[in-house]
Amino acid sequence: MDAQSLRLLLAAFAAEATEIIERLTRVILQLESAPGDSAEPLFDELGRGLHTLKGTAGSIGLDGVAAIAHDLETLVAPYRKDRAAMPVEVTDELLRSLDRISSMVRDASPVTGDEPAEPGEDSEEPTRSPRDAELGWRVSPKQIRELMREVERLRNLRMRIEERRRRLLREIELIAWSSGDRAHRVALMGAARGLRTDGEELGDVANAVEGGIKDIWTLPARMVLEPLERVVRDHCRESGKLARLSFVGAELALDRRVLEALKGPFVHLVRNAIDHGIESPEVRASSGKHEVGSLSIRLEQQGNLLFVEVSDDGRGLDHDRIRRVARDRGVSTEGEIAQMSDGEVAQLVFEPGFSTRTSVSTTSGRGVGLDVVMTEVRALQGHIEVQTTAGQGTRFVLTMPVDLGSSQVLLVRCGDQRFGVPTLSTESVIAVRSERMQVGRTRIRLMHGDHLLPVVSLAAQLGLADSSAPSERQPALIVQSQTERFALVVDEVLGENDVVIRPLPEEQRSLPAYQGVATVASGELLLVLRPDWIAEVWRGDQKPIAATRRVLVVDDSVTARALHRAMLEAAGWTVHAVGGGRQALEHIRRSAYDAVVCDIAMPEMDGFQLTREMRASPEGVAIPIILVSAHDADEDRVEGSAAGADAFLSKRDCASGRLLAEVSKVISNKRAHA
Amino acid sequence: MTDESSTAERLVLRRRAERLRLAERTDTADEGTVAIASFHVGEDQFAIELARMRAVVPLRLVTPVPLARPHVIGVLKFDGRIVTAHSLAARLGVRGWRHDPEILIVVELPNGELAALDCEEVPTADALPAKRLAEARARSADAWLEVEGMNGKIVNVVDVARLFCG
Repeated sequence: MDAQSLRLLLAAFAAEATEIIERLTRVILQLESAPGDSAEPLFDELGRGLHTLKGTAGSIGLDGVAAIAHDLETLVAPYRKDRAAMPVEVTDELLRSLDRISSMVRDASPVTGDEPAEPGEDSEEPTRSPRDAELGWRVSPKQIRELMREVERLRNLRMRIEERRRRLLREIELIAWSSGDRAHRVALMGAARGLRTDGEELGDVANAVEGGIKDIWTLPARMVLEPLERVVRDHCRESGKLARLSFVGAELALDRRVLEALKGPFVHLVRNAIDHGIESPEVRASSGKHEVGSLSIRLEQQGNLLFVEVSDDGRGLDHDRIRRVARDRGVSTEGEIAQMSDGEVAQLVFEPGFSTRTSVSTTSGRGVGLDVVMTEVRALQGHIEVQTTAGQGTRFVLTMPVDLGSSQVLLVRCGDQRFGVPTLSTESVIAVRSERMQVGRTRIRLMHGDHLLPVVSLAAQLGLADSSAPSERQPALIVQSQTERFALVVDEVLGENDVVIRPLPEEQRSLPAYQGVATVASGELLLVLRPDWIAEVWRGDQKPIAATRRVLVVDDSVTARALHRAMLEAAGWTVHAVGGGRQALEHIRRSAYDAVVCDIAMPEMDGFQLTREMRASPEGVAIPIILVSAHDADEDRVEGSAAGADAFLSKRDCASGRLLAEVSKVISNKRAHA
Repeated sequence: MTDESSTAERLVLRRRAERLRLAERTDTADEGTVAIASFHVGEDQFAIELARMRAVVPLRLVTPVPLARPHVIGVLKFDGRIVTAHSLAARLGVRGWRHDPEILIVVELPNGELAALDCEEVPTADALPAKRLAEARARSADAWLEVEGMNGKIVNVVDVARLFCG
């Protein structure tokens, strides 16, 4: 056999052996806890795996590996024959021997590392290992991002084709069915059908390309999670504790770089849970817990956000002890600690040098573990929170953006803006019926099926309007977010779309309301909401809203709205802003305002018309109205006054700071005359 | 080469040389100036250094971001990137304006990110004495610097780095 052929064989064996060793490790760990009959298939798999290792290693001259595999077969044989539980020392020997084989295979392999190709974190250039060179494997993060941009373009193109088809169908409807037009109409209908199939095919192409990119760039999370079972087992053996690790979401395919970066944090968090969280079997038994502690890792992807929870059912964090240690180790001063809530104290465990252990073991006590976790998570632009209940356990929640991939979202309208709600979180869409609503002082509930669900107004959550009872047949999404289920009331449901969600610009990324932003057919951007955030805000927002002075700004210019808002909010006003007269009337019908600041020149309904309609309505008749115009024309002042406006300002007047004074003045006048 | 053609060519070359000499003289004159884009915000004249500007685009397809800070108009897509549009007047604390802004100036921040600032009018190209700008920058740590222009009028030069990263 020539050298080149041997290199190829060794490379192939290294990949196969790594896979077999990973599988056998899982099997050995399962055997350790598998009772009686269920052990049979596991012993069979163990026997087959060892035999394959022995045979293949021997065939390419790795006699050392073959000999170890043979010894292991001999070691396991009596237990396999009797289906008997293996003593823990035998399990230890099996695992240690597999580690030795792993190391020998790595040394013999012509490549270093066992990943197919792992481009550097920051490198924009493709990296190439010797094996990559042989297999022609060459890729970089930049190339992947560029390919994903192309997928995004394909998806946008698909949406534009669909939009054109809808427009075409609307036009066809207008063509009369007269004899002369019939042929044209039929031809156009055919073209519309063609557009639909083209669009669908384009969608399929986008799916296929995206699927291919994901196959290249992602790995199932279990590849990183399953080795942790061994970590837990070994660490429990060292510490004399008992714990079992379980996973939720292990099949989730994630960016290889994210998974690689999370390897270290997972190990630290799991070890930390065993060291500091899980109690000894005796203590657990005496406190009524199962003597085997429970560790779990849950992964969930929502749009382009990844949530990772690492939890245990141990003793929970000891806040007093953390305070003491933080003070003794100089992590925080006495004064700082005194000001901290329990939640803030819990965050101290991430500080560099912090550890509540008084002695240093091989795995903890040096105060670097959780600091490393925080550093890694921050490097992924994520954040980490810790939640704990004394005697019941601790939960670390890691949240980070994952940049790759498209998601299906429901497009909804709220006021004059569209938003995306992840379809995965949406169970169904319903029309609200008043007879199924229960309106209380602080909350509204809706009977849906057999359940009474909280009703949440999206407009209110986003600060676009006040919270009010939904109107009859107003659409609502039934949203499931973690443990919360609620009815999210919107103004309209516009449909469903596959979109590529991208992160917001850095300065907006801290807004917890949004997963990111996506481009839709018209080229405009769509904010994609985080259902978790809606649930969190709703939970924390149960009290009646405190009375604040409120102004409704009506202006079709997005910049004028921003300027009015900036000026008025700086003076302590709560501002709701809308882009047109119709939305303004809708707001006034639903909420109470102290004043309305309204532009005159607006399409569809100008400021004069809005003023007249407000004065004719019971809700708007008494609200002070200030008209604002770019032109300081006498005829505008006269017409505004005749329509019922209380004041008139030019935008130059606003420049001299008169807006705030004028708003206060018209409110005082109105009250004086009331 | 005939005499006639060589005469014609010599003429062309002489003209080219003349133009180059003229350009050289102009460059020398401009050596001490900084190119700016000048525009109004409310009643005041503002400017941004041309070196910071990436583009001037019409203000459309901006998606408002509820719950963002008040000076954020929204986000838009520019050159394949997602960019935040800011109300310059709101950021600078100017309390009003003459016309509703219809223009966005896209600027590059020191960290390579892009941001957009609204503007009431298409900016005009102008220049400021570099020395006066440097003096103003040394004198004040504000996000905008009062600099006396060539015509003696005060121009408020927006320091993009300080405005966004300061």
